[in-house]
Amino acid sequence: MPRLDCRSKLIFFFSIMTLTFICKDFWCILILLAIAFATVAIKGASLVSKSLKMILPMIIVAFVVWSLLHNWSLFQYGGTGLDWQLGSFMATRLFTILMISNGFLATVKPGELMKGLSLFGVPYGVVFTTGLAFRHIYTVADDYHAIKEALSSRGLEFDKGSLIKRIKNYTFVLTPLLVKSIENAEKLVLAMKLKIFSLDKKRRNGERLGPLDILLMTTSLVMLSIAILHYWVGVI
Amino acid sequence: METLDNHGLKAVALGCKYDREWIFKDLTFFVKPREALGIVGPSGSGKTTLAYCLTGIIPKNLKGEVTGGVYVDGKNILELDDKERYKIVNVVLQNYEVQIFGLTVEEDLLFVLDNLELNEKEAEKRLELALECFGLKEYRNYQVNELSGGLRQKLALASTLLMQPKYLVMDDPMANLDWRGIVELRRTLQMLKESGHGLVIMSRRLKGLEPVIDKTIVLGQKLAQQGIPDEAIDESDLTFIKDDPVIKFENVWFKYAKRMVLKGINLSIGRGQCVVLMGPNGSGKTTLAKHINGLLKPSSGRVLVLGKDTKTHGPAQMARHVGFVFQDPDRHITQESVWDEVIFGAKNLGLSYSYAEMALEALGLNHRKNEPPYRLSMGERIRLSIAGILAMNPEILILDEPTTGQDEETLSIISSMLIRMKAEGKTVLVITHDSDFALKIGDRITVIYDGNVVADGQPKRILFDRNLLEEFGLEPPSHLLIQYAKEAS
Repeated sequence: MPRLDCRSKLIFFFSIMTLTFICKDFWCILILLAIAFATVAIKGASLVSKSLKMILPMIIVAFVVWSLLHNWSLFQYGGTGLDWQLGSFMATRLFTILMISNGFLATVKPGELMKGLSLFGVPYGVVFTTGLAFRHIYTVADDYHAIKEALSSRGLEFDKGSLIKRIKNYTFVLTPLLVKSIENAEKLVLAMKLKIFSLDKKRRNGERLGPLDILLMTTSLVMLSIAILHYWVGVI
Repeated sequence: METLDNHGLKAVALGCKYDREWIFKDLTFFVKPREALGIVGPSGSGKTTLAYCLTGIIPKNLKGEVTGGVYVDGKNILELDDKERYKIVNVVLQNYEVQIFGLTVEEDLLFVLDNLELNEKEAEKRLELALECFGLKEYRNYQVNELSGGLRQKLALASTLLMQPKYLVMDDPMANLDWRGIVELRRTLQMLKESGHGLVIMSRRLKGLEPVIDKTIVLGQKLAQQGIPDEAIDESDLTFIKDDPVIKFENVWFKYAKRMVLKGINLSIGRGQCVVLMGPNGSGKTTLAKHINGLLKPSSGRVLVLGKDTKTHGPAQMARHVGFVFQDPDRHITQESVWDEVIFGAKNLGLSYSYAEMALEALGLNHRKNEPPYRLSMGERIRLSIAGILAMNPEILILDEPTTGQDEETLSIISSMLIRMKAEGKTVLVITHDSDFALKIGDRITVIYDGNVVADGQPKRILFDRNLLEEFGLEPPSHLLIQYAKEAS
């Protein structure tokens, strides 16, 4: 997976995610779940166990809620309100969605995502702005942590007291964070000018796709087409 | 008088004012290709404004009233359009983070090459050259956030140089560098000079860059007095660890993001001591200090502060005993007036404001207590952040890099305050690269290298040991540098 082209990775993840929403057969969802597991496992067993630790509580809650309350809503009640089969299907579907999202985050770097979007013809302005946002998420996160550390070192409690008090204490983080972010944004604009940035630049072409990329893209798109024809159009 | 031919970057009677206040005026200087001009001044002396004027950013892109003129190779800089101007004179800003646009090293360099609209062959050639020259080849596909601060700074410099400006202005390039970083910067500057660039380097001090600087001008206040105070070369011995240490690290290990940052630290600090933590960037100094006020908890081992295990006490609880002054005061100013800012910590802890009054007085901010903090100069804002900590009357005070970008007045106020605190029996821990400052205020220097305490002793013993300085990349005191220069000559 790490050696694949960004375009084939994007098509693969897009297809798997779409298939998870389209498929209505339990066995299909199980196969997709296996693929999602394999994608995460590429990055190591520790990521699999970390993902499971994070996801399993949600799956259990989803299973219980879908099994017991699927017929309940705010306005109506019907049937027995108990459907284990539906609960299992929906919980497995959610499991697949979360695992495939983890696989995506672990195997597609933000730079690859931007490059992929650019090569698929998304306007340069959109790709550049998104990339810049990704780039500066880290800066804002660093600033946020530093401000929080400084304030807690001056006796401000973030984890104690009533909910209102905690929320109020968090507002103290916002002022310096906002000031810092505005300062950085001003400098960023200046730095863009210094590098004679313009939105209408010639874009580079991507590298040639390898046989593995072509195989992955074709398989993904064929699977997606079959699913669409089967579930939506009803042809197959 | 210098011969004024047409080749060079020249400022003639240059002045700049914002809101009717002069930042500087009547500056005249000249820098030729293959020459480096050092412009020295403390924070707030107008270095950044001057960098903007030299590149035409002021008044073309930012507001400001400019008098006199800047000429590049005989042409008035304001007569050139942005594209032409930045290809001749460019600037590496102090905040290098905002100058990085790519998510990976290669993408960032390609960003500039794309902007230059070069053909693929030329772009590839320049890219490879930049990666090679700046030692970034092995980091080519690294995410920018995976790089150290030093490498990010290098990347910002490399991407600016891809534009091949004839003259390069660098705004405080040494601000976040350790001694090894400064030595490497010196080599880079030498290389740039040799390849025909004219350089203007703005900094609070030029220590370490002297061999490549051809001439210097001073902005604002007088230069730092470099040398060693008499008491620092006193031969008397000191007892480091008293019977009852106020801070005790017992075999402390700390792991962060799969990396062991502290590796079995054992350290005791006695009451009334001023300990200076030194070591290269990334060696674990700040991590160690953050264990003292409970911001970080050891992965194994324990830290006892005044007999309390910091594992069971959060930073807000430890704030009653440990004051931590962080770098960059703008990151924690939250209140609308200087007075409210100073009492913020004392108010959170339910303490009286009597120490707040004293802190404001001691740090020379009493006359500005009703003003908004953002109206203060950088030096005053740093003093304000220290006053806010002193208002809580902590028994232990930690200062992280208090000398960065300081003016002489603030440095002297901080030194006197630290000496007074020691006399009152308070314990002080200072993190710094500045060996002259360490000699001035420290009773003891502890050197951290790769998560270990590798040297611990009297300042003069540590900082005059050439092998130790070399091995652990510490900044030599000015006294020693003068000695090196004499030996070399």
